[in-house]
Amino acid sequence: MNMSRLADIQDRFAALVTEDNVSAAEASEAMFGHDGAPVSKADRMSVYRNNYISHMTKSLMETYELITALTGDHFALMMAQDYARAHVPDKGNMNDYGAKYADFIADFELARAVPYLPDMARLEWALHAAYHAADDTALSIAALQTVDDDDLDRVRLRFRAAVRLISSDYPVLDIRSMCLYEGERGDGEQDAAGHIDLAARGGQNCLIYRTDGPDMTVKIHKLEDDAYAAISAVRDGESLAEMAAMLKEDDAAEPDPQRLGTLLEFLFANGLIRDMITA
Amino acid sequence: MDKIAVQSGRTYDVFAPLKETGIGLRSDHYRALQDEKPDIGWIEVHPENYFGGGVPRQRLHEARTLYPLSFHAVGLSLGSDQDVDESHLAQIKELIDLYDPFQVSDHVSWSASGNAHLNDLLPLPYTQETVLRLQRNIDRTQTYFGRQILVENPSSYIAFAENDMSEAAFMNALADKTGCGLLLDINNIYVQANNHGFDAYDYLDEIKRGAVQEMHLAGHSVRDFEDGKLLVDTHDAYVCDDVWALYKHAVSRFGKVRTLIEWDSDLPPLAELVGEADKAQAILDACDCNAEKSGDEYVALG
Repeated sequence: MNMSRLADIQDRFAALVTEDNVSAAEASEAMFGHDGAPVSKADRMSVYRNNYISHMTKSLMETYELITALTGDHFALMMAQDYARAHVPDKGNMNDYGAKYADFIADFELARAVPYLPDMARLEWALHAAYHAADDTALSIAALQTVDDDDLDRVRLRFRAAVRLISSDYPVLDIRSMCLYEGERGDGEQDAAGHIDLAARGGQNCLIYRTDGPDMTVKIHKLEDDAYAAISAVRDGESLAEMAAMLKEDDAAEPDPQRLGTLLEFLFANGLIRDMITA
Repeated sequence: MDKIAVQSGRTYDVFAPLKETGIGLRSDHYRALQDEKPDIGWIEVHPENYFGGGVPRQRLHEARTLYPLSFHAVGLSLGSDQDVDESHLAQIKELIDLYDPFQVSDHVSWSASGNAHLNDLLPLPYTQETVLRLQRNIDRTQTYFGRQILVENPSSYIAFAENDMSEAAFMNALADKTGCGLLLDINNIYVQANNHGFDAYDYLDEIKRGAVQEMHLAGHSVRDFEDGKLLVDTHDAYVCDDVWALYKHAVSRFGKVRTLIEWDSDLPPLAELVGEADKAQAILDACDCNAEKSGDEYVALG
């Protein structure tokens, strides 16, 4: 394919900004001109290289504040810079930048000592995504009254765009509270030294959603394992009957209809449901 | 006052900017803007910050109920040697339909090459080939939005060997060929003059009258290197004295043009930003601009 002169310049310029390739940089020197003022071409290009890295790391560190709180400014910056070099944005919407950071952290050798770090990043991305998710309208709780108990296997729900579910083998919500409120409040999650006993606390699940109106904000609701499984199943297209089947009390043979009702009321009353489909 | 209903069903007052000077609104100032309701003519935001939906859009709605709004895009990449991204256009158009900005602008620069979006305002070679490429993308954007856009002169740190016209001539050519308006960033001209060794006043005198519909003022920072210094357009400081002087010259040449104070990082309290806008307003008010306003050689095509 014949590349236009402009496309060639932009292709090479982009590589100079994002890659460390000394021979490519030397080969591209000729496309730049001297225009009287001092300062070498390499120093001039370094402004763009610095801009790129600092814009991307700033964006990552704003989204992933807990990662910085947990690992310290220096480590968080180093990791963000590595991500920025490996992940050049593929669209002009910076709100989408950093979606793969949790996976990147999971593979980041130096972060292995903090095993819950990838899940903390997943939690932060879910909060970020909920904050920026598309605006849509909640289905009124009145819709719930129209559901007949005999029809549960035919009814499915569609969640609103901001709703996210997170499950972790680590107490991610307690760790988050510790980061946000360190030294400000003792909420019983930490011992006197401010430590959380990971093994004793076990994992945590949560539902993330956004409220409507002038006080619009993102909320986190902690979920028991079975409630998490039941809501996940509905999100993935299962019927309310499937949801109900997952809400058994320990050792009980039959699901508890009361719990289904309570959970559905929570979902509707907090405006998490966009649509209800009866097949 | 007349109202306009936007796509969401909300209504906003229809008002032209109440005075010429406005400020760039950043999220750190959402609350202060509501509390202090400063005496400014208008606000400007980057539409890209409102892609998606959610909390930022709620805050923008609240700000829009108080002030006329201008969209200053940063991601259309009008100077790329590829067509403007359709989904980027669609997302800005959605916001135009929701918030009814009185004006839309972007930059004479590029950020996308293939699938790489570098999220920066990167420099262009000033050649006929580049004019034609930008012309196609500006035409496409104006057609898609169904309105005129303004394009802003960039700051840059390196120049291309094949440049065959001045930046001012390049800007004039874009306005001539597409009927777009010009957004003159006075700080950028000052930065360019230092970084590329030309006279900033000559640049202003080369820009045709009539096409200039907005001006920007901002602070920059100085980066020292072994063999000299570069000015970097960081939008993190007060407008410097030299730029105020250059602005006075611009006002005397282009008339009472709407002017925006841009400040993006290390933000001062809102009141100080408003103070900078007041300073610009005083310069505009002191200018006997009417004689200049009629313009001369420039005829808009749009």
